[in-house]
This record gives sequence, C-alpha cells and structure tokens, in this order.
Amino acid sequence: MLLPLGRRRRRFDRRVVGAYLAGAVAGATLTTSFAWLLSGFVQPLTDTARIVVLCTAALFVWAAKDGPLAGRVSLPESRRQIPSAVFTPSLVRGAYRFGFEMGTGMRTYVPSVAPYVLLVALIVVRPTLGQALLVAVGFGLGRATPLMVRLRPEDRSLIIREFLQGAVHRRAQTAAGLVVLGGGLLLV
Amino acid sequence: MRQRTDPVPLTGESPERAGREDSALSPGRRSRGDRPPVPSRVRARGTYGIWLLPALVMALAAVVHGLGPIAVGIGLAAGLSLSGSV
Repeated sequence: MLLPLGRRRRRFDRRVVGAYLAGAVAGATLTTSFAWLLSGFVQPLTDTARIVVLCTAALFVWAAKDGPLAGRVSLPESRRQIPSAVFTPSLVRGAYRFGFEMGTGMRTYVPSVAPYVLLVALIVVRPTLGQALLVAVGFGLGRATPLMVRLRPEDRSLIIREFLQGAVHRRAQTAAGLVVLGGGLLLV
Repeated sequence: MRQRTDPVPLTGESPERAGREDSALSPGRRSRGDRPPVPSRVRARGTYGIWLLPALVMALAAVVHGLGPIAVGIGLAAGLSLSGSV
C-alpha cells in the first residue's frame, strides 16, 4: 500500500498523497483534453440529437456492465494492473506516475459504469475547454479521495471510508452513472 | 531522495488476482460474480455517499448559476465510483 495502516501520518505521507493527487488530475486532464478535441467532430449534431445519443450510450454501457448484456458484451478497458515498476525511482515520484495512470482511466480495470458515461458525455456534450478541465479536476479528486482519507485519523475517517467501500456495490455504481448522466444532460 | 522502509507497492500480483481494478491502494475487487461480501450497512452508506457528494457539488450550480460545479460534480462522481477499493 502507498500508506500503511495503523500509525500516525507524517509529512512524507502527505507528499506521497499530494503527488498521487497531482498525478491523478494530470492523467485525467490528458484524457479529458483528448475527449474535448474529439468532441469537435459532433458539432453538426443538434441538442436533441446529443441528448438522444448520450442517453442511448449510457443505457448501453449500463446494460453491458451491469445489465442484461453483462458477460456478452465487454466494454473496452485495459485488463491489466499497473506494474509495480512505476515505484522504482522513489515513492513520491512513483505515486505521481501511479496517480497519472489511474487518472487517465484507461490504464487499468474500469469496474464502474460512470467513467464510460463520463467519456461519452465529454465527447457528445461538447463542453468548453474550461468545463472539460473542471471535469478532470473532479475526476482526479475523486480518484485520490481514498488515499486522502487515509491521512486522517482512523476514528474520524471511519464513516467516510465506509462510504467509499460501499462504492463497489452495483446500486452505488449505477447511481454514480446516473449522476454523471444527469450532469451531462445539464451541460448540453 | 528519502526511501521508506514500509511495505509499499502491491501492484502486478499473480494472475489469480486478475480482475482487480488496482492493488496499490487496497485489496481491490474481483470481477463480476467473485466480489467480496460487503456488509449491508456499508453498502447502504456507500450507495448514499456516492449519490450525495457529487449531487451536492452539482447543486451548487443552482446557487452560482454556473456550469462549472456540474463539470466538477460529474468528474467527482465518476472518480468516486472507482474508489470502492479503499
């Protein structure tokens, strides 16, 4: 683990978490910038068409991940774990690289519906560059939250950790996908 | 550069652990049908937590009349949905 359990957090741990957060935001920025560039191709679509495409894509993604198409249709994802070699030079630099790869959302498994819906939304909605960058900040922040929570004393972070652990539940992941879909529709 | 002696990276585990999203943060999770049991109390909190936080961020949009909080909110929701392996 990047941060071992059961001891008081030190300044070095904060540097590790800070590097991970910076890496996650940078990785997410790379992906969202690429999606933002791709969004230029959907300029001819009307707002109604964007809404239809986004909702259809979200429904398909949910069906393929957690719905009736699960097991029959596999969504694109990198079926690998990030190699431990990223940590070789130093832990802080390794945390940045690890966060970067996690932040891209394309370098390891994606067990949730929401990132797929988010990617489709970024392409279909045609957000401004500023909005795309804010999405990247939010994604990196969400990606780094589990590690940031570990900086807090155990007794105070217990509830937050339980919140995050519950995210593996299918209902929570569907809910997150709906939040992303709803937000994307508001941005159209 | 200072090196720590704590056990650190757990990435790149053996093939039987494949299916996990990542392993440097936590034990992670396996593929469908092989998920570790999560207590119902935790599940409920997680469900509401993943709903509430991004939704609250997006609700700020109604207050400030901007789309920025919505953008942050949808990114946050997607990022948090991958955080189950704490």
